[in-house]
Formats: sequence, structure tokens, C-alpha cells
Amino acid sequence: MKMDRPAFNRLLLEQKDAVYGLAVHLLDSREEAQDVVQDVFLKLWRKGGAVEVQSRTAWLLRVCRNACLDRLRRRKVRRHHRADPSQIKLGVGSPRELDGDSGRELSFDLSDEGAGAQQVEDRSEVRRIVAAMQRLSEPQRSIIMMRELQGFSYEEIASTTELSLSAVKVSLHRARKKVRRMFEEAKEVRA
Amino acid sequence: MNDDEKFFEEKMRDYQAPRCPEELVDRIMARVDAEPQAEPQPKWWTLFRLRHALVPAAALAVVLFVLLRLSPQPPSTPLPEIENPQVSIAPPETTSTPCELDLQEILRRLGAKDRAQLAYDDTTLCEAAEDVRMALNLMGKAMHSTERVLRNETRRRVADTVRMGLEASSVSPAPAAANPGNGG
Repeated sequence: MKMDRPAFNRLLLEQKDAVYGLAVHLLDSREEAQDVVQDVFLKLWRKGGAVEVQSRTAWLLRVCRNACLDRLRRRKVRRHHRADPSQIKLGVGSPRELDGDSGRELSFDLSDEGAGAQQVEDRSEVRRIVAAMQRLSEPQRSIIMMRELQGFSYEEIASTTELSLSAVKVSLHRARKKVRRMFEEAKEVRA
Repeated sequence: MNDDEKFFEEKMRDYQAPRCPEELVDRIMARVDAEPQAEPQPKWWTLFRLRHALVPAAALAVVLFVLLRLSPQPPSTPLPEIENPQVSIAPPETTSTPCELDLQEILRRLGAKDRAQLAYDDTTLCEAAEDVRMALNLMGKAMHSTERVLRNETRRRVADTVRMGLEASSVSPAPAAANPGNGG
């Protein structure tokens, strides 16, 4: 069934935040995330009615994740070609810190302006947790971000990552443990 | 809920996921208005209709019917009666061909040359059989003649023997009568 403009607009308004959030979390770049979101929605529009109505949300998230992973792979290849091995300190900081990309931004709206000391501390902790999530490998990174940062259900995560429900739960359990350990190790170092 | 889940729930409580900027929505809708949407390609299985299959199915049925009618039917063999149900039923071993064709069918399938050869062979065979029959006839007649000759010969010999015996018996008292003094 062909998708008309009002239906597409409705779907865009319903799913834009989920798709954009996923892209921002995975890419850690708002500009790139916007490009990905635009590409994904236009791809859906060009496909017309080829995507079933009931699976359009899962399709959007799946295509968005795949596009983000493609960009991350290309970014890694570029970094590999540009990198000066002497400047890389293995095992320190997040991958973002290693790649020297000053245009990056942590993936959430946390302004320290006008905030109290406790709030600043909380937001700093969240930043470190997100940074620890970004150091995970796939699919644990996508799974924990979708679950903890965006509140997706297990079923939504399974359809997006094309994994079984049990595999999602196992990966999430391991990812949580890793992130918590990294966070606490970093906290000890800071203390 | 385990410790890790509690940890994340506590730490991420105030976290707000990034929201998609409105200008991005406007940009996407502007691109959508500029781009015509592609017609959805029909799936191959939706192209299939039952009525499209009716004509080929009917033609196939006619062809099958004709083929079945033309093919020779094998003679039906009666099933063996089962006297003892415990005995396993196996097909009987046979060296004969499963399908027997009659002579007319064989002749029909032969070519003209083969048929001529067969007719020639048949004539030759009939002539040979006639010769054999004549020979047997002659042999029979010869045996009859031989038997008759032998019977006559045997009869003659027996008659001769009897006559010689009779002659001997009639001759032997004569010397005794001729010479009476020799006896006493």
C-alpha cells in the first residue's frame, strides 16, 4: 500500500526523537545524526509502501542503526589512515578522546549553566557513563544505549538489532556490568 | 532487579534523551515534497491469479488424458490370496517380461524390412517342416515295409523250421524199419 504524505508526516513526528536519539548516541555527533535521520526517513519515503505499516518503526530503527555503524566504520578507517601512532595512548579515555575529533559532543542536553553543584556532579556522572557505553563494542553498545538512554523495550531492541530476545538480555546484562565497572574504576582514579 | 539495574536506574533518572530539532523535520518534509514517491513494486506472488493457471492446467489435463489412453495398459494380474497373514507378501520372482505383447502388436511395431524377413523366415520354416513331415512319412512307410518283410521272413523261417522238423520226424522211423535186425 502506498504511503501518502500525511501518513509519512505522522510517522515522522512519532518516531523522529527515537531515531534521532539512537543516531546521536551511536555517532556522538549531532550533525552526522541529522544527516542520518534525514537519509533514513527519505529512504522510507522512496520505498513507498514496500515497508509494511506495522513494521515501519522497527525498519526505521534498524536502518538508522546500520547507517550509523557504517559511518562509524568509515570514521575508523579515516582515523586509521590519519592517526599518528605515537599520539595514541591505548586504554585511556573513550574512543572519542583517542580520535582527537574536537567537533564531537556528548550525546545529551546537559548544560551546566545555572545548575547547582549536585546537579553538575550528577550530569558529570551521566557523561562518564555515556562515555563508558561508547567504549563498548557492538552490539552491546547499541543495546545498552537503546535500553538505558532511550528506554526501548526488549522487543524493540531485538527487532532493531536483529537478535533474539534472550541474546539481547544477555548482552544487556554484560554491558551493564562492564559500564558500571569502567565507571567505578574511573571514579577511583579521580578520587 | 539486580544491582546493575538499580545503578543505572538511579544514575539515569534525570537523563533526557536528545530531541530531534524542528528544522530537521521541516527539511525532511521539504525533501519529501520535492521527491515523487516511487510506486510500490508488486510482489511476484501477488501477480499470480487463479484464472491465469486455469488454461495451462486444462491443457495439461487433456495431454495427460490422451497419453494415458494411448499408452498400452499392462495386463492386470490377480493378487495372490493370502492364506497365512503372518507370511510376508513378496512379489514372485519371474524371468518373464512384465509386459507381454501379442503377435499383432509385435508385427505392427516391426519395420517393413523386418516384416519381410520374418515372412521369409516363416516360409522357410514351413517348407522345412513340410520336408521333415515327408521324411517322417517315408520313414514310417519304410518301417512298415521292413516290418512286413521281417514278418514274412520270420514266417518263412518258422515254416521252414517246422517243415524240416516234420521231415526229420518222418525220416527217422524209416531207418529203424529198414534195418529191423539191427535192433534186436
